[in-house]
Amino acid sequence: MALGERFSSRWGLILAGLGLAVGTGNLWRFPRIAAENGGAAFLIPWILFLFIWSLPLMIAEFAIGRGARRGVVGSFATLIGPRFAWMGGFIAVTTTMIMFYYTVVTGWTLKYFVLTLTGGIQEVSPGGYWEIYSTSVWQPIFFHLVAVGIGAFIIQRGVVAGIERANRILIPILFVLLCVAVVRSVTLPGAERGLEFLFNPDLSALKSYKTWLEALTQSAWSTGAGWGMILTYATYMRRKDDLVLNATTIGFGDNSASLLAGMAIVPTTFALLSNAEALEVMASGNEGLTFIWIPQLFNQVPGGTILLPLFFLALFCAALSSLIAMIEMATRILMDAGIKRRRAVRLVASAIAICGIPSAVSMTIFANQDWVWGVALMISGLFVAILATIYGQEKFRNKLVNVPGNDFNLGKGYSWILKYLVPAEFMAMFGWWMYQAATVDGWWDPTNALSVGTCLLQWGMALSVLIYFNKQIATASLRGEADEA
Amino acid sequence: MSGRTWIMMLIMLAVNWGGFLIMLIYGIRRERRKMLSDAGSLEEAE
Repeated sequence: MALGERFSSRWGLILAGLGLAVGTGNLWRFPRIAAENGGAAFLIPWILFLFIWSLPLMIAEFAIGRGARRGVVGSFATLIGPRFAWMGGFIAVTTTMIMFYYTVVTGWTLKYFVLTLTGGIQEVSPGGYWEIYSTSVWQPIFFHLVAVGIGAFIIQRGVVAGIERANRILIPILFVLLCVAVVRSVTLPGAERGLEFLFNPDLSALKSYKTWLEALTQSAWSTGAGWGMILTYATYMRRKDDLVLNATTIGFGDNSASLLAGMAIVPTTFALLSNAEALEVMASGNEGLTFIWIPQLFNQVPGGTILLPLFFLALFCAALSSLIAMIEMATRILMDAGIKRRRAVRLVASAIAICGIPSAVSMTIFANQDWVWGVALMISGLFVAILATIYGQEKFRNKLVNVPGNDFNLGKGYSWILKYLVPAEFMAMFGWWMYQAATVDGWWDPTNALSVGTCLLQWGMALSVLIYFNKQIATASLRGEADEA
Repeated sequence: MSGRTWIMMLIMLAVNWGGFLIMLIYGIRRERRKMLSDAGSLEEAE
């Protein structure tokens, strides 16, 4: 597989981009967060932040990857100099650490798909089953390893035969399944209460800063802006490919998938439960909602025995299409260091198989890693914006964003957003997070799984290693065969 | 469902789904046009 591989068409690139963006966050996080933050009122800032945080960063990632033609570390070293390779390294570490537990999540979805398909979930109490499954050792490890194997198999086949072909299958299936779930959900008696909740705006919720900040984090985490995955896929764009319109299409496609998920889950929940109970279910966390409540609720719906496997298949498709983007991000970094794809994939897969085990066997470690590296994505997003500033905002826009293949070019406002607005949003979001997290007892304690202390310790360790070995990391990231522009 | 809910739902679907589909269709049509023009220039060169 040559480094000069390219997506075969614009459609292939968009599907791959949708694959990386549409993940479990759309299906299990969006409906929950929207419901907890005023329903329809939440949708207004959520769309706004697509324009002023996610899309600018997604476009920047496309521009960086297409311009440098290297993975996330090599791109930073190429465009702004080897002494900044550690910034790309931090993005890579963040997404890699997420990948280690994301395979566990992908394994859960696969397990539940199999379980619903065989009818096993109907025979037991979903709450009890989740308790047994999540606290057992071998089953989560087994399904974690299966997820790693499937992801590695796809990535080993390369860009067109692997990534593009997988997403050509996974994404249409995902959207069709979501549409089927929406039709079933909104035609249930009483579903209009859920739609009312989701779409009738309670504008007083807009006065709460929490609504705005949850909207920003949901948009940032859902679109994949700042993860380095878009950057990696952009290295495989053809020279004549558009950049701005493709990024925008993927951003809107991701939002559309979230809306479908909301319309599938919220009306079903409200149709079967009272408003107070429905809100309680929505507040039960990602895993609680997905693996305990959804099986219980869908089992009560006419046609639920068909709907339930379809939902978990959709969830598995969403998880897998994002997982392969994470594996490719890590693989590409090793390829930049001169390692052939096949060997690089084996190294990455072995690392995930081993490093994912702690999250597979311990929900505390899983929650800790989700907490630490989920928040680190804010810093990753900031680093993408900083690259553009160091490179020179106008030069970045004129040379890397407004490329000849574009259907649309961006004006000076884009440079302003990256230079001022994105850092300001980061300060507000990060400051809010620190303020909230530091009000909890023991916030400084690094042994507390959900503390500020554990975040600072783990980020500090990652940054110290990256900065200390920056020279070697930069040299390695530029060692491999240079990809043609 | 109230009229307000209907309006908000239609706006949300129109902005997100409408935006997505319009951009997707526009992009694919542009791609086809680019391919045709590339093929035309190749023929001319030959």
